[in-house]
Amino acid sequence: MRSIIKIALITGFLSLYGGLPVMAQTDGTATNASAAQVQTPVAAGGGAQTCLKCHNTDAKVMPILQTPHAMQGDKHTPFAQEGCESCHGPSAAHVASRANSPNVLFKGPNKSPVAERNAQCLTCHQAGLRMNWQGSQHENNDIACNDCHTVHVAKDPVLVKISQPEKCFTCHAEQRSDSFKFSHHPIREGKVVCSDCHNPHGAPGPKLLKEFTVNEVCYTCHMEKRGPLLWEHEPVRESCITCHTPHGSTQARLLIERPPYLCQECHANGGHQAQPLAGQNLAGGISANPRLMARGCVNCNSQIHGSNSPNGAFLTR
Amino acid sequence: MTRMLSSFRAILGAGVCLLPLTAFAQSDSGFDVDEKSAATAALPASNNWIELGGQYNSARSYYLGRYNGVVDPGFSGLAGLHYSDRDAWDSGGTHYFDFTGENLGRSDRSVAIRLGEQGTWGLAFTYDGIPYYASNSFQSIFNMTKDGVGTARSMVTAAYSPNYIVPSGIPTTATVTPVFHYAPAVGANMLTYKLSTQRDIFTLGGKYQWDDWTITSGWRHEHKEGWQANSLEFVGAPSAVGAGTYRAGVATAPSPSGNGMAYFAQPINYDMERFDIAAAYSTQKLQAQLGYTYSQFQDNVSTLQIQNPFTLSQASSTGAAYSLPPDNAAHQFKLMLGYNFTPTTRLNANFGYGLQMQNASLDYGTGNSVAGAYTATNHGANFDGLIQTTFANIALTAQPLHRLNVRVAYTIDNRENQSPRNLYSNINPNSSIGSSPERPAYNLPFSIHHQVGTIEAGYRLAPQTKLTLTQTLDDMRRNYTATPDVVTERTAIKLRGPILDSLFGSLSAAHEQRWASNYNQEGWWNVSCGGISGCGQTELKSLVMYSEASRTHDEVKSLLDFQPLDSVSVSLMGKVAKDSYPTNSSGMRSNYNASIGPDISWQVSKEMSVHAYYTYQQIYYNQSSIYSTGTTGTGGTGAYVPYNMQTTDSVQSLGVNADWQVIPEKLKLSLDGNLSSGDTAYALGDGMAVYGTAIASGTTMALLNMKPLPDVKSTLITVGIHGEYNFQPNITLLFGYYWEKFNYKDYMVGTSSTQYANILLPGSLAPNDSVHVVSAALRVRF
Repeated sequence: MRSIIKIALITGFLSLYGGLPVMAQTDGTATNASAAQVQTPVAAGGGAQTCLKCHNTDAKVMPILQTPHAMQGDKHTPFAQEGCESCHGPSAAHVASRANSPNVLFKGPNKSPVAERNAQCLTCHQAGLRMNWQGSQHENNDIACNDCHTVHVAKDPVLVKISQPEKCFTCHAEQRSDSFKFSHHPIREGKVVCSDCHNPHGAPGPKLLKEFTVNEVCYTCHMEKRGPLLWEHEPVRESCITCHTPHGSTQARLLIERPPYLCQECHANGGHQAQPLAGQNLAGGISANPRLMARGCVNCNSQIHGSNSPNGAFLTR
Repeated sequence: MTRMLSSFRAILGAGVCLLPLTAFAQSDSGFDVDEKSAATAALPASNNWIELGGQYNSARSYYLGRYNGVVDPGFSGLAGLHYSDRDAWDSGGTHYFDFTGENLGRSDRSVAIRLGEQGTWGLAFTYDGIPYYASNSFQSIFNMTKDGVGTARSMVTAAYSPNYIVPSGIPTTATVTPVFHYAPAVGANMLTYKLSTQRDIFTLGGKYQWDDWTITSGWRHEHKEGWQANSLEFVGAPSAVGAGTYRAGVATAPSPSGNGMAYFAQPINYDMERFDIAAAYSTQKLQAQLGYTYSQFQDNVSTLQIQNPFTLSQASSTGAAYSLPPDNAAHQFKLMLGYNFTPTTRLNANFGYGLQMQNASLDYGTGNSVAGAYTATNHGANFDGLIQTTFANIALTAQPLHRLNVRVAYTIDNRENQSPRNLYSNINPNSSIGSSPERPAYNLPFSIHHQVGTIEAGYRLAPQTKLTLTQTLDDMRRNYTATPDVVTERTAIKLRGPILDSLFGSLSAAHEQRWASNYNQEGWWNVSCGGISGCGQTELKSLVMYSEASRTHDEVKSLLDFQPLDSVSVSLMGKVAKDSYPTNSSGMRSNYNASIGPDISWQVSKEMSVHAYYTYQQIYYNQSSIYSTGTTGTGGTGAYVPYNMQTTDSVQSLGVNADWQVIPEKLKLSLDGNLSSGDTAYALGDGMAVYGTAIASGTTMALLNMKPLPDVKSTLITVGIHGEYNFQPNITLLFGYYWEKFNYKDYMVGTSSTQYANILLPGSLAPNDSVHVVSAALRVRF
């Protein structure tokens, strides 16, 4: 544990120490492109046809023509407006000479600043799921739309269930590790994906969740747990993650810890709850106890999410 | 195999880049637009394909196949189809049609159809099957019907064997009272069930756009059916198999007292509906969306009646009622607003109001004298539960200075439980509280009032170097709890930016202090008891539930990204979060969660790329008993001693993936290997002297030394190789091999279902599987 903290602190100090000289930078060194953009850029005009005169054999460019972005018949699309310049900005200089980059570059060593790239997307994609983008965790961490999304392909991989988690795991390594644990949602298997629960574009509730609360998200698929129930288990009503860890666990049923020890974190104030249960209480042991068999405490308190039986105060019915 | 076929799909999904590339070779000739013709765009070939194939699994594995349904050995077929048709981008048309069917022939099949006129209207239909195969070795004494009637195949007492085998370790000279008794004759009557459920999810969505308005609606229907494991406690007299007094090799007849528990296969038959409609208005300045959602849950099994197998005779045993998830419904209204005052100043507001309702009939008497025939305080046939939820979030983001951005947010999240509060009779399974099996109690409609205020400021020290400070104040009010008022303050700082030309770093730290106040020892038990004599128990101040207790939380996260070469990138992630509960001297005392690991990507050549990662994670919990001194005495109380319990999860994940274009445009190979290992270690006062557990009071117990618990271990190894060979321009052979080995050791799993007569366990075996999968498929593009 201590070594882990040390490593974290050392890496942190390295970040801080090394970052100081960079902090002295001025905005002028941000990107050369930014400096060039001080002059008002001029549009080449002519829509996508202008660009296709050169790029019509570029395999990295052309697939966009098979995507919704390119549909000129839809007045909302970039191609129905300024063509490629709708996203890449007015780029007459680039058309005039290959030495000049398009006004907005999304990749490469001279790519535009994140805010500038994102502004292009937000021009159209500001509503709906993106409404809470500003100030969101990903925005604050300078995540660009095209860090996750790929526009110049017929199907954006992050919008495909089976390939989406890998994109998220690029940064969220702990969640990738969780997905391999004994108990996990079928994330690797492509049946439940990150965006089923999360809205990476920002959310008013916790953890970039799609719904306002944790439980509202869980109830989408586990509606039978919603109730209201006659006998409620308070921590369950408050948040499912009091006991469960949704990405994966070494314990069955995505539990953060196994019963009876999970239960004893709160319930140890007397009676059978307070007993220490160890090796001698295992099945076959000299003081065998059912709370170290099968589902532990839940063997008897099997309505652990709440009961609707008048006899269910102890969540046994 | 799942991974392999999934990889195929991933490639297909993303895969237009695999389509004929020769036509796209970049021209090196000049850049003068005027000298080049405005050639017709050379679009990629069709993306439509049909795929037919099969796979062979070498062995049975419910673990490998739990989410795709391929659990048995042998051959199985698989098919897929993708067809899309879209008006040419420059035709002026907007028509599109898209059909995708995947895993057809398997229970994890999916179908999606989308069509419409882009920018005007669209329809989408999807179907998704999600199986879950839990166990093929689950055992139960009950013959359970799909309607929820469980009949015991035999009475446990009738099968009771007097030849009790004293477990090793019990002193042969002492008189001991084993809690449980061996009942081998019951075994012949145990039924083996294959436990699995299948979710079939249908959605139908529509969208209509005009000008700045968009109307969307959706309907989602989910049917879930199958069997799952569950268990039921049978309490009080006349449960037949109870305490007897034994010496090694000598047995006496059991006395008719004590508790029993038995596993049963619970029939699952759910229908879930969800209907959404929303109207959105969007301009550059203002975005608004008003939505309504109705959802409904229906359990098609009306009741569970389970015979008590522990009664003295079959004739005297009737069904014990077990409540099922009640039918419920919810309404929710949502309003979301966003307004841009300036390009850098924005106001967001989100509001939600919801009602959650449940009025299923209450199942009072069961006709079973053991399982609660007490109906004296019947408070109506239905519960009439109602919960009102309100949510509001307002956030202002602004950039008052060129380098400074700020965010101020305020959130209210309330759950107001308006369900009736009444006195109900119930079974008391805790013999230490009262001797009567009936103990009236009030239900506790649990409400939460939650507010959060956040202020955040980010300052760019340099264009790519940002320092962010966040301060959060959180106020939580609950009823029916030991600490109804909980306030949390959190301060966080984050610095991220380049360290060197090729090195980028990020470091964040947070400190959080939570104060729980207005301690009320009557918070739960006594309120529930309503002052009834013999029922009360104090909610200890030293054992406030950890989710509500005072807490100190600290966390540090760091990330280093290093790109020594254009073709190589290395990142190192480290994270640790620690909680301690300073006012709790029992229950949860502290815990931490730490993880660290590198991630490496290397573009070896134009044809080959390699990715590798390693993650080490440690999760730790420390908890204590409420006792400061041990008690020695008679059975039933002797086990209550001071102890500390530490649980440590150590998890390692290692993976390597390589993609190799062996023959450009012809042959591609991918190799994928993963190793995941989990180990949960327990330390619970090892070696400490305690007394054995006993139900029968007054019996002297043998003094035992606390024995260590074995670690729980799981190991998953997967190795997959798959390839794609284009032997015709439009025909691809997909082939692959996949091996998965999974081992699981868990002391709570695998006990024989009939080892103990008064707890009939599921007997499910821990998965220890090694499966080889070979697959091949033909994909034809058209």
